[in-house]
Amino acid sequence: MAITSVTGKTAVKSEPAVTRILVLLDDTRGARAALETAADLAAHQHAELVGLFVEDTDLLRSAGLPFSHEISMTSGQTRPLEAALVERELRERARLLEQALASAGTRRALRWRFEVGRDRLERAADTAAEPRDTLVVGRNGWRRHYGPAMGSVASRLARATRCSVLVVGEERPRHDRPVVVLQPGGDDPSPTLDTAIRLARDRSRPLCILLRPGSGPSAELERLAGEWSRRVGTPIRFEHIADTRAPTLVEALHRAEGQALVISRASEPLATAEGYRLLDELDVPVLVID
Amino acid sequence: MTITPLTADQVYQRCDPAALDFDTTDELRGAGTIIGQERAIEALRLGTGVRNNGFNLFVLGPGGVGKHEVVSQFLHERASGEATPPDWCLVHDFNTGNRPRLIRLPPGDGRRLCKVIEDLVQELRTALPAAFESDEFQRRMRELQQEMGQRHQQAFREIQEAADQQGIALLQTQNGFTFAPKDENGEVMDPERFRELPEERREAIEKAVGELQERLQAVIQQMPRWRKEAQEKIRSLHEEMAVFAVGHLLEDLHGKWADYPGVIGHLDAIREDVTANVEALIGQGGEQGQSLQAFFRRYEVNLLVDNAEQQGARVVYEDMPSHQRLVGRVEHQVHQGALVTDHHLVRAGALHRANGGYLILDARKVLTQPLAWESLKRALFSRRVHTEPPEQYFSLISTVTLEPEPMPLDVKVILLGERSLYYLLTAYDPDFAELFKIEADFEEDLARTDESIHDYARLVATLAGEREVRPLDRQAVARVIEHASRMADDSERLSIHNRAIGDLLVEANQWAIRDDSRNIRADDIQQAIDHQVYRASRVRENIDRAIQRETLLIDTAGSAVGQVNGLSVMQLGGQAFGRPARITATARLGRGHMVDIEREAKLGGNIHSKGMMILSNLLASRFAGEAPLSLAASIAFEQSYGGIDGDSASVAEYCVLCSVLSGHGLAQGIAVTGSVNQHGQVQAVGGVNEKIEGFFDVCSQRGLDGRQGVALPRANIANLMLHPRVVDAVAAGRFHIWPLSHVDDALTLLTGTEAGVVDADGHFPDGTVNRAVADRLRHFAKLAERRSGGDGAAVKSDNGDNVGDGEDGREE
Repeated sequence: MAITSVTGKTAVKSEPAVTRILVLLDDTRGARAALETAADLAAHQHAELVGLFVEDTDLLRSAGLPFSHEISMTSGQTRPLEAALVERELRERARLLEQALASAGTRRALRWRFEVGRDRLERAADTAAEPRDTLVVGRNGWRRHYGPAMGSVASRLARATRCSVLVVGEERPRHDRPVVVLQPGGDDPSPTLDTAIRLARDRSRPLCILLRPGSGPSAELERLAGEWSRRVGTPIRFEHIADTRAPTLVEALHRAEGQALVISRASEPLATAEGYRLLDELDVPVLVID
Repeated sequence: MTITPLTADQVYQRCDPAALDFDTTDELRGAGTIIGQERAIEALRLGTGVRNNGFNLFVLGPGGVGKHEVVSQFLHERASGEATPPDWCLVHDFNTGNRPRLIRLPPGDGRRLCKVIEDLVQELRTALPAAFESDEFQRRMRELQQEMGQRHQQAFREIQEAADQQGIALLQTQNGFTFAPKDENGEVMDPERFRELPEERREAIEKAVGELQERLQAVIQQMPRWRKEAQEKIRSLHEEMAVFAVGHLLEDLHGKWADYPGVIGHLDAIREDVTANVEALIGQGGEQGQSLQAFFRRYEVNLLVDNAEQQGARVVYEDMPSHQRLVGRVEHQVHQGALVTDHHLVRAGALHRANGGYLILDARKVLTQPLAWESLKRALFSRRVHTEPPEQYFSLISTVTLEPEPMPLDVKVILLGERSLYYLLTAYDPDFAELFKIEADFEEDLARTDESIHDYARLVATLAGEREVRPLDRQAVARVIEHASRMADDSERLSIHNRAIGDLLVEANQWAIRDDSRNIRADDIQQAIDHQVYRASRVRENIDRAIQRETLLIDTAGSAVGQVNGLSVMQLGGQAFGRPARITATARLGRGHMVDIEREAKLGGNIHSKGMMILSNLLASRFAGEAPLSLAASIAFEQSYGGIDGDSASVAEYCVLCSVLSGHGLAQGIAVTGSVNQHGQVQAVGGVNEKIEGFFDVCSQRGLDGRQGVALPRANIANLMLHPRVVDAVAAGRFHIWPLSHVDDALTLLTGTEAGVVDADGHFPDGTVNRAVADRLRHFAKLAERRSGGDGAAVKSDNGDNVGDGEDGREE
């Protein structure tokens, strides 16, 4: 993750720049929104845009079974799931998604690439992504109703991959609301905070730091906040939360009217599979970073 | 028989300034302009007093008599003592959307209601968003959403757990879900491996998958119901919040307006509308603020009729009574290329504004405006004002419009118009008599008495005040009164054409200003009168010039047989003037046929023809009672090239006929006017003042010789109000006015010979005019008898002319 630190008197690059923005493509509305966001991000960071389309092996195997049926999510009716049909659909889908990627990349004069992998989704994404990459995943509205029980694509990928994952919804966030960051619990809070600060600075928004229970803002945190506030002229405020469970975090984010959440993969809410439901509960973009 | 000419006092009824008890009209300020209209006032009193349907009024009278002023003054006085009519408000119709409802409120409460609803809307605009942005609402909404999500998740979780227990994976597909057996790595089993499984195992897996599919199907098919239940709960929450936000505001208003069911109904409708549309309301804002404004505009009130500052009933005069200005109109606005409207764009008409009071309209204007008369009748019949655009009647425009609730109508309509309109409407419109049962007929003049002269002086003073002219001294007022008699064409009456008198005062004021006089004097009045005549005298002067140059042949001295000066009146615009006309006659042997050359040339009107027939029969009855009238005569207005009507020349025509028959010359210095009946009596005619002045001017330009004058019916003496120049000449004996009672008076006067009275034997005395006429006719009769007794050939008159059968036949 390319983060320009503002923690010191002089701004230094703590890490190399992001080289690639990966976006997981499928033909859902959420994925289309993710493609636009990823293209914008790549243009902003001068990074390469990589579209990743995964032909899920579980689905292909399932289609090869003689009794396999697809149950319509809308009507509940079943119809045979045939391997040939699935193969044909995947090819057609890949063609259309490549066109969409090309269009998004060309409009922004980006370097772009379309990759097709045949594997389980998490494994394919993890294989494709490098730690310095950012993976953009769309949050599909309808899947959220059923996904948590099954593990949504977004939460599954955020959990499985080693890079930063940005989960975006179909709705554009409002631009007058703060960026919210959960105070990191580890020894080095800088990467998470730096990312949140940069995000807020780039979009000229205030920053809201959610403080863990029992902890106040450390001297270092206050110094950071004051420094940044002086430089960009936007205030930083601190909010206490009772605990770090996902529902509490969701509540705090609503209260702060946050337009984006930055959270460390190492933080408590993401320590379990249940915690990853947080990613589906929220209406705002969530950036999960290592 | 000697006919005594009239004295100067008889030809002009002076008004003695000494009889007026003031110096200038300043002392008379404050008097009204209503005099001599007792009959009309009584009708107004009756018409306005009866509140029953149909007792509307039609005020008849010519223009300029002050109908509008009198009616307006009367109605304002009456209305000021009556109850102030209510306010009328128009509110949105929340049921159908296009029938705005009326609310009736005591005067002044309409404004109050508008303000109250405006305040309510302002509060709604802040209270509603506040309620829906509250933490409580947000929390409860999330709870509902979580509840719905958990319900779904629970159902899926149970299926997934059941699948996991059986080693089966639940997978998401493009359009839904599918089940597949898992291998030992937790991945979906390869189809090849599945086929290698024992048959029992495969069947067991298939069965398990089938059961899971059925369970999943059942859950998915339940989902619409769950969603609906969730939406119901969300809607209930919205309503609860909305009621919380607006309930207390509406409750307060309920208490304050409890006595007005219309207002309560509107408040209830607002409450229902807010709760029904709360989702749309809270979804608005930002760029859609205009839509939100339009939404709340539906709650606001259109104060259609505002009587807050009205004292007593209204008196409304609508000077342009078109359909829309009578019954109101629905305006439209262009919005994104379309014509749209709402209840705020409904405008009141004159009937709305006059409701509870009086509406004055000009009948002619109402009748000439398309649809206005029908709309007025419809409103009066139904006692309701229907505001409907005329396009609707004709289907000219098919756009969305409104049909506001008709307003109950209690109004008294007063139509002002000419008498002819009243009579036409009575004759041709059966509805008219139903709706306008009271007629108020305005007088054009009043009797000239000592008392009325004083009233008239006050009228003059009031008119002077209204026209803001200098005060009149008493001599000027006396001259105005004299002129009023002249305007009335009657020395015993006074014209009450206020407009003409007012205009005269304004003109006289200019002369007073020119002379730097503090007051308007009699001379100023006379100057104004003379200039009014002068301005309109171009044609008259042309005729006078033609007479002086003998282009038009008029003799004013000497005598001539078969030629007499008649008098006619020309009406040009607002002015009339008289001019003499030479009438000539010829006579010969014939069969009693009298040729009216004017009629033969189709220049004579019906009344003129009637006069000729009377004249013919008079002649026959006087001179040929026992024998055929063997006469063929013709009478003509010389140098007359336009139409002639009226019978005022019949005395002159009789005289000229007798002249030609008797051979007696007629005095050319005397002009004659008057009609005659079959017994020879002279009857009154019109326009005698103008006729006399017209002949006087011709004579005076040639020089008055003391023998000139005008003979007119005795019955017309009362009409004489001659110009001072004529009066002066009469007083000096240089011009004469002779009154006539019988045609024989005219004959005696014009021939200078006794006309002669028939004796017991039916004979006229020798040497009289009538005797000469009788002898001549008897001679004709003998000739006719002798010449027609033989072979029946054409007879000849004594002057040798042939008298053809065909000519006689025309008399049939």
